[in-house]
Amino acid sequence: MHPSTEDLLSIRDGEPVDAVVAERACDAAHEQEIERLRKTRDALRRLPELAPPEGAWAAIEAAERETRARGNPWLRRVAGIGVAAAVAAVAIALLGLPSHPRGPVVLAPAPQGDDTSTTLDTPDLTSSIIGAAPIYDTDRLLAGRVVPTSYPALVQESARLDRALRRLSYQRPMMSGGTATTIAGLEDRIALLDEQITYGNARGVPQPQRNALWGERVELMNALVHVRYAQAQPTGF
Amino acid sequence: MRNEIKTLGLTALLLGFASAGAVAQETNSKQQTQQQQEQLKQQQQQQKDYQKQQQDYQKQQQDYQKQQRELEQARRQLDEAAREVARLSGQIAQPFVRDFSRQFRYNGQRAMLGFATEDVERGVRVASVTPNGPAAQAGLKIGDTITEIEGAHLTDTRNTGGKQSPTELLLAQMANVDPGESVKLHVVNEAGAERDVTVKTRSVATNVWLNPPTPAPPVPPYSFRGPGNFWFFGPNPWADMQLVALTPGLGGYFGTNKGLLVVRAPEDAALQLKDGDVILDIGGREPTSPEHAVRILGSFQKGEPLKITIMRNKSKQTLDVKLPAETPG
Repeated sequence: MHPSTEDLLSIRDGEPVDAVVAERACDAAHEQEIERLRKTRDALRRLPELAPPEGAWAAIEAAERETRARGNPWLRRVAGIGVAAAVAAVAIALLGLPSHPRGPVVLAPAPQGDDTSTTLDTPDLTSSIIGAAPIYDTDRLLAGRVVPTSYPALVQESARLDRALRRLSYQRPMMSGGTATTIAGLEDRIALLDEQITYGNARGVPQPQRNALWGERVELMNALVHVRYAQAQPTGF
Repeated sequence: MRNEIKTLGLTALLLGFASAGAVAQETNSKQQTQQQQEQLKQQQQQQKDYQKQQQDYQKQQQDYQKQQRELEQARRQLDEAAREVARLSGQIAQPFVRDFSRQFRYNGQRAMLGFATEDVERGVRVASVTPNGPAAQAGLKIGDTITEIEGAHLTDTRNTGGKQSPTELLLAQMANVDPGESVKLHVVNEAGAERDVTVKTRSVATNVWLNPPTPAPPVPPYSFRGPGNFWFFGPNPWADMQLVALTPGLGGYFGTNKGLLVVRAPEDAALQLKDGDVILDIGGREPTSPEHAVRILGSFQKGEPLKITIMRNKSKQTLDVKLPAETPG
């Protein structure tokens, strides 16, 4: 009687079964095989324990999800709708709906997790893909956000937007001339504002002027984050 | 009699065989007909399936194109919204900073580091970093403190008889720097770690609006609003152009390893670009990104001629371009 694979596996794991023990007694050839397996087991046990690098499983999971999504045309279409919805939501966020008065400083906040969070690098598109809820809370967007008026709050908000912008991936996406003009224009205006703020700081300009400069910077940074965020969304679906 | 009986028997037997043969033939014929009908049905079903697949495929294509159009439309709206935000925020700030802006504007060409500062005892603290600016590219972050510039200390000495604040000291040093020159900064981060950082300065853009137009400019088709606003507050001849920076892998197909690939040429023929062109330089300046390209294009006045060097069919060419002088339509 030859041992089954299960029996051999049991031997490998150090758990000899009765049938194999009986067989071993009557078959010298099996004895050699069992001895070889035992050596293999011992050699395997001597190997050092290895842990996968941090985040390896998450990366594998993400890659697998991506592969699955790429292989499924239906998912690709749904993902496409999700991206379009995300961009549209950003546009709505900036424009406001026609039924709501467009106050000059009432703007949607830059996309974010919550008021204190600054994580923007991993936007959650899941909700829009499955269609359960929009990526942004429309009611919250329409409620708007009054740009802070105090100097420390303005500087803090500006820093938050700066961090958000840096966390957006600066890949090399295809870009329309119109969007490129918008981004370049916003960046240039912010550059000039930074110069003005520094210059004003050296000249000791009154606080209302400094606040006005910081307020404008916050508005432009907010707009830039939105445009960059929309641009960073993948379109190759 | 016996012979007659035999004859009759044989005749009956023959008739029996004949009828049996006829029945068998009919049965075969029916079976063949049935088989043919089944084959025909299968063929019809296959044809139907094929037509349905074709219809599904066409619908998928239509859906895809519709989504692409919606995405482009959403992005255009977003661009317009961002420009509107810029216009309104500029108007709001204007009453507070009008005089200051005039003073600043006529302060001459200056080299830009790309951050805003706050005075602290050891020097100037970086309060904001200009997106995509020189300091950002050099790795400076909000919270860093610059204690020296080109070896000159920025320590606040006003409590001990000094006259200038750290920011004033910084600006005094920067007055000697031309745009494009590099400056060495000594930086202390929030954790206290010190390092030297070299920042390549650039000029402050001169075509940035200081006085946003009121009311909002009409959108189509072009919007020239004079110096200070340029192309920002409306579409331009290159608004519908699609650009992407060339990668080394892509470059092999186009005969160059740098430049911007024109994925979709602008409908307006002013720039003379075609799909598949690679822009190598605009007016002698090499664009490194779509934003950089439009920044260069935006530095030209309406009606101004410029040369654009491109690769077309792996052959280097120079286009003599003249930007539109007047608003079409």
